[in-house]
Amino acid sequence: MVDGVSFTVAAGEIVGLIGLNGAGKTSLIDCIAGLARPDAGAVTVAGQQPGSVAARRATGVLLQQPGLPARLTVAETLALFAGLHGVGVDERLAAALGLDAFSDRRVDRLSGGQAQRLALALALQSGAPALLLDEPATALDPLMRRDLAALLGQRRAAGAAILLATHDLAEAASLCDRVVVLHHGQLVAQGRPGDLGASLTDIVLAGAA
Amino acid sequence: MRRLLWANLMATFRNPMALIYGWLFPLIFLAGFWALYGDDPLPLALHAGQFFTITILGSAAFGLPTQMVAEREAGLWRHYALTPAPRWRFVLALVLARAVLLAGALILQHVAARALGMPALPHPVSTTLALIVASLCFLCIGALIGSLVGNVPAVQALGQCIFLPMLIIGGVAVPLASLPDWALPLSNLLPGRHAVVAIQTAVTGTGTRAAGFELVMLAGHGALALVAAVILFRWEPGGRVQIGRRGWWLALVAAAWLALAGLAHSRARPVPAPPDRAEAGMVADYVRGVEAVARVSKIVPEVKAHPQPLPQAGGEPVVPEPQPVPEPVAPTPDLPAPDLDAIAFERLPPDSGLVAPIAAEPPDEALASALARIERQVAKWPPASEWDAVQQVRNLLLIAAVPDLLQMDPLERHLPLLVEAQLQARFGARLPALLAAVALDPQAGSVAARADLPALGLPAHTGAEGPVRGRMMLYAFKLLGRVTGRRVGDPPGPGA
Repeated sequence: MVDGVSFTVAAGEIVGLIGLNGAGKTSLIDCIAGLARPDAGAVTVAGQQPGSVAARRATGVLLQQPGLPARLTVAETLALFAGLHGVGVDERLAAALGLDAFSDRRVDRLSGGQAQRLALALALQSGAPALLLDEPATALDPLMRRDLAALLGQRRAAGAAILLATHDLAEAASLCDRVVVLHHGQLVAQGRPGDLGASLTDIVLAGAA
Repeated sequence: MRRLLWANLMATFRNPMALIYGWLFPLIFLAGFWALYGDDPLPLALHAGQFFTITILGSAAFGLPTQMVAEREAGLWRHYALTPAPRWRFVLALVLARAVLLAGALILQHVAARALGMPALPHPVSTTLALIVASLCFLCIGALIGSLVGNVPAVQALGQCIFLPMLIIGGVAVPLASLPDWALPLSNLLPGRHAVVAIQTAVTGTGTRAAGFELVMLAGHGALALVAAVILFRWEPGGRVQIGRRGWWLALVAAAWLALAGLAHSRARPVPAPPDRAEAGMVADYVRGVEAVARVSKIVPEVKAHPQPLPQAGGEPVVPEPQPVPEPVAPTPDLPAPDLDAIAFERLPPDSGLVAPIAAEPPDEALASALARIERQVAKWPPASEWDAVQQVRNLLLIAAVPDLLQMDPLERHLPLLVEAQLQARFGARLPALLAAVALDPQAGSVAARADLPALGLPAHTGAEGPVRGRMMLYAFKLLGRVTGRRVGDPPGPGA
């Protein structure tokens, strides 16, 4: 349950959503993506109601459990979701994420890291101005994490508003312009990582204390 | 939409279990029916309604919800719901892909049934219509199950709760004619019965017009299931369905379903008889003493092959469609006129019975229309223009004999009267001799015209000739009794 949380993510900004397990990060992502409806309060995405067609068009989402079509190949999955978003397959993005090496492999035969790269490609290839990424670095090797950071930097530079939920405090500190710290559904801190007066680890643990 | 449909087709056809359950199992069921009913007068056709319905039930009411729930549990639907594409398209694409799989299964099953001896479909359009309506109905029921339950094992459990009653007391696996009395009213409540009757009427009956009520019932069940599926639909995996305010709508759907079931119960038709395996008997059973066969006749001259003009409904004679009537290649033999006293008409099966029935009442409107259509086709039917008069009589008698074997009630009871009218119009006073010739020597001549019956909208007959020759003999005796005034209707019972 999330309560009393209020923040914005501006264009050209990466905001990190951090907290321990059960802090409410995924619930918040679901509300912003339109998959769950808040009992009270308001959420807008690019000025639209979450879940509306306009909001869905404006948002690229990576869920913690992305739900991929098991019996399609990587290339078929990219083409399918590109079609659903009304865009073409972004071959450069696919290559940047290393998907071209196994584009003919069926999704149910991918490793965890390969599936995560595919899910990332699906979220990013729509070119949406808002990105919701729930644990994007999960199962990625260090090289791919580095490449992901570069990709997100490019999107930020292109004006995307990115909300990134993560456990990885080092990643949040290095990638994010601001962070929002949640604990038990409450907002316990937010601001630039360097302006919070303590390390992110201390803040997260203090919230839990 | 095309991309989504294609993706769903790929997902379906790359799933070995979908192919095993969708395509292999229907063939196994068919083989089972063949093992049980292979000695029917018409192999498999009399059970087509059953095995086609089992295929539809398995694929639509089991396969579809299993796939729906599995994809929802895997989070795929949740992922779809994040895209800007209209959400109904995802469900429609899934259902269409399942429909393609199901259509393939039905075609495969039909091809296999034909290879095992089932005759060609006499009403392919009607059969296709019945299969489509039944498939849509059960796809909607499958969508309802998929919306209602939270995981794949629950699909299996709920599916069995729906599937098994339909199989056992719904006329799908156990024929309606074999059900106890208490089960018949229950079968009216289940769409399986309506599917079986609608398909069977198209395959061995007069087409789907005669099964209009069953088609309406299937459409009703399907529509109500679809409404309930839409009310309960969810993208999120797991857990129990939250009914909440939707309960009122569901109560309305339940009330409409009860009304539909009540209508089905009030309009229930008699249960069709089981396939008729009764023996027709032998010629000696219907003449008085063995010696009577020898003295049954006197010579009558000049029985000609050329048919007379056919009567119209209003009584005016009408010349049939121009058909070249071949000149006899050999003189038509003189035929014996029957010694009617030697024929034991009273031993013939009753007209109101199962074997060789003849209607005592006029046909209703729908049946009269079907009979008129058959009558029009008879005028153009080549076996009805056979140059050999006795063979022509045999061919026409097949129009009554085959539907009798196939238990095509109520048509089977009215066709003998149609045949009688045709024979009288064609042969007039010479008819008794011709009928006697067929009745007294049922093994003579050909019954090949039984394969041409689909031209009349009737099923062809395949397999052994014996049963059909027996029914032909019985109708020859019965019509002989009728046209000579020796036997008109059933003799009065003991209390009459």
